[in-house]
Amino acid sequence: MARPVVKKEFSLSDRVYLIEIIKGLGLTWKHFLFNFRACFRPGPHTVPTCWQYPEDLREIAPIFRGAHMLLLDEKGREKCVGCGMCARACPAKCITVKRGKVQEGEEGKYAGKTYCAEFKIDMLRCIFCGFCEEACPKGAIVLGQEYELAEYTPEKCLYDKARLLANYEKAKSEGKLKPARKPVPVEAPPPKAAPKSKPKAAAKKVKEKEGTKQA
Amino acid sequence: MDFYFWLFATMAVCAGIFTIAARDPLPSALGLLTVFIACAALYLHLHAPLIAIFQVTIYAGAILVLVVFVIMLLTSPDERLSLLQANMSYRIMGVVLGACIIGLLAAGTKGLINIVGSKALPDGFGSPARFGDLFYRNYLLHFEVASVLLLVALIGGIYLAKKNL
Amino acid sequence: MEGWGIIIIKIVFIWTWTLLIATLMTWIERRGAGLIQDRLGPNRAGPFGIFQPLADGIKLFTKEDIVPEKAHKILFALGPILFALPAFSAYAVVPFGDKIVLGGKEIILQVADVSVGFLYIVAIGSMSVYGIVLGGWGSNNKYSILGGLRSTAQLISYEVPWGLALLAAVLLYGTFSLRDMAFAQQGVFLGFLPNWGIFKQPLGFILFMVAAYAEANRVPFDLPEAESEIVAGYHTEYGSMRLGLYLFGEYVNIYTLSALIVTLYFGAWNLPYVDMSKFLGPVAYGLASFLVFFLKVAFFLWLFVWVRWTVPRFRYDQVMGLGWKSLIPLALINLFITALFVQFTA
Repeated sequence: MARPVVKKEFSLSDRVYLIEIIKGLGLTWKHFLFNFRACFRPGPHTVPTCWQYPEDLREIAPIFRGAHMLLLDEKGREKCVGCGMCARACPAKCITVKRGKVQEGEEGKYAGKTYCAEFKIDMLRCIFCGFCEEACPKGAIVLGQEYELAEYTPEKCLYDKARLLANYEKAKSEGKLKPARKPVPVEAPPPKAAPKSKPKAAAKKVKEKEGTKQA
Repeated sequence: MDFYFWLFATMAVCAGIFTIAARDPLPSALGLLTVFIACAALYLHLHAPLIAIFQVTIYAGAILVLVVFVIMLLTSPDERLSLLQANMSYRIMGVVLGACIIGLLAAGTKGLINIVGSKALPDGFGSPARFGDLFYRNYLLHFEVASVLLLVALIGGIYLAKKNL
Repeated sequence: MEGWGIIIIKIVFIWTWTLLIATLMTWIERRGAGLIQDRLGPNRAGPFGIFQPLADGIKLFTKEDIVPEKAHKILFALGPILFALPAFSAYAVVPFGDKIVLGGKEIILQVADVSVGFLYIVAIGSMSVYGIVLGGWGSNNKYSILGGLRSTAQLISYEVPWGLALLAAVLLYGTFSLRDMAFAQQGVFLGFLPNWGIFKQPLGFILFMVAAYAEANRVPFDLPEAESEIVAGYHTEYGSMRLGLYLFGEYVNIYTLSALIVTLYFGAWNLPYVDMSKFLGPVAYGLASFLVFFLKVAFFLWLFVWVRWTVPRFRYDQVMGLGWKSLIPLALINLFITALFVQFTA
């Protein structure tokens, strides 16, 4: 709904403008004093409108997609079986997986019969979409909460398996592991109920059904 | 050997020659600026600080700024003055007029050497108080005539610039 | 008449002092701007960011000096020099304290006490237009030329009310010399008001302040370097120390104008009802007068920063209209009233 334009006439104090300037100076002085006192206070979040980054951090949602990690199960064995589904699902094609058969003496380290001999993620190509996490049949790769991923050389941004396992250890020690995603239960479609509407509408519906059946 | 005088005199003459001979209009204006500053320094040397200040404020600081303003508004940075300077009739006329002016100056200053010598200056010579005294007592008519001249120029400027009066 | 050595020492002192204050002003401007705008200014380079000007200075010195290809080389180089020279030399006639006695000699805290006094500053101020003009023209960039043109017009328009407000002050004090004006502001008048210029010339003070903001190219009159409209106006193409000269010249201009405001209207180094020379020794008195003067100037420096982040920028036609149609008639009225006042109380 449109509001009519009210043409505001300038009062004398507006026209002189010096008075308005002085009023404006008072307003900015209040802001200045407030922030001046705030910057002397210790502790995080002293200035409410400006969060100083390394000291004031934002709260991350639990489903935030940060850096990847390879999970261990309750017995401490690597969950990843090296199937390569994550590499297949990745839209940016940044994951490289090589499967290896578990040897006789190494049963305790791996959960399955095969393991990933080589697992590389190129973080510079990764788009953090989370498809690898959704595609993994074992729930072995998860995107964690780590977002401070800057490095000094590009070589350090190619994560290998050791780095990914280390990410898991770090997240576990900081308590930032998110709970496993439970599968969403899919409801059975409701059975086709008999039309309870008026006879005319019912006749129309029967005609439509017949029409679609024929088509 | 008056070192101060010779320094600023040569600066003024060289800048004057540069003003005439420059290719672009804006460096030419800067040469004129140097002439004005050198003249102001010479006025200072002649115990006339107020005239020096007026020279810098009015000539170099207002009139020349207006000239520079016009140059900036009406020309482009690539324009050269060589087209105007190459005109043969302008050059001949310039030489003739220059020679006439030099002749007039020489004729006018011929007897000056006999008059000018080192004199003791009266007390307060060149100070603003003495200047104001002379201006508003002995030379009041000249002052008022100058202000009327400026008023006429102002009216002329407004008339030329306004579209509908 | 003091010897050459003392004058040279004073020159060097004033030069380093104004440069130091200019660097401090960059810090105050950025911190003040931040705190007014509900954020903090630089606070990482040293406690409260106090080393930020040092970092900025190092950056400006070590950056690559880029000259546009089609720019006029000599004019491009001359622009910052012609802007900084008048800025640094304008302070020569402004006092920064009363006298001090060092080693048995009495030294006045002013570089040159000439009879034409502040007219020297008016002359030098009108020369500072050239730096902007040449900087804009020599850059071969249409935004720079626009900025240069606008700035030229603004500066020469506001020199008139500036000079007229100063003239009214001259009429009141009867002298051009700034040192004598500072002496004339001692004591009280009307029994209780200190003899400062602001109480005798309130309209003149307002006119001088507005014209000073326009002369310094500071908001609300900073159209020549309007950052959001014509990129950076006349100093768009400048980098490294050439830009440093422009910015420092601007801050030194601000310092000189603040010092002028304090000298003309706020009693220079005089405290309101107290005469410091009565109970302080000569050296202490010199230092105390310097300190008092500097504190007053510091308030006006802060006012420059404060107003910058309070008032929006004026449009070009508003600037011109204000200068010619409002300030000049007001300045003439102020001159007339002051003349009447002086005539009937002399």
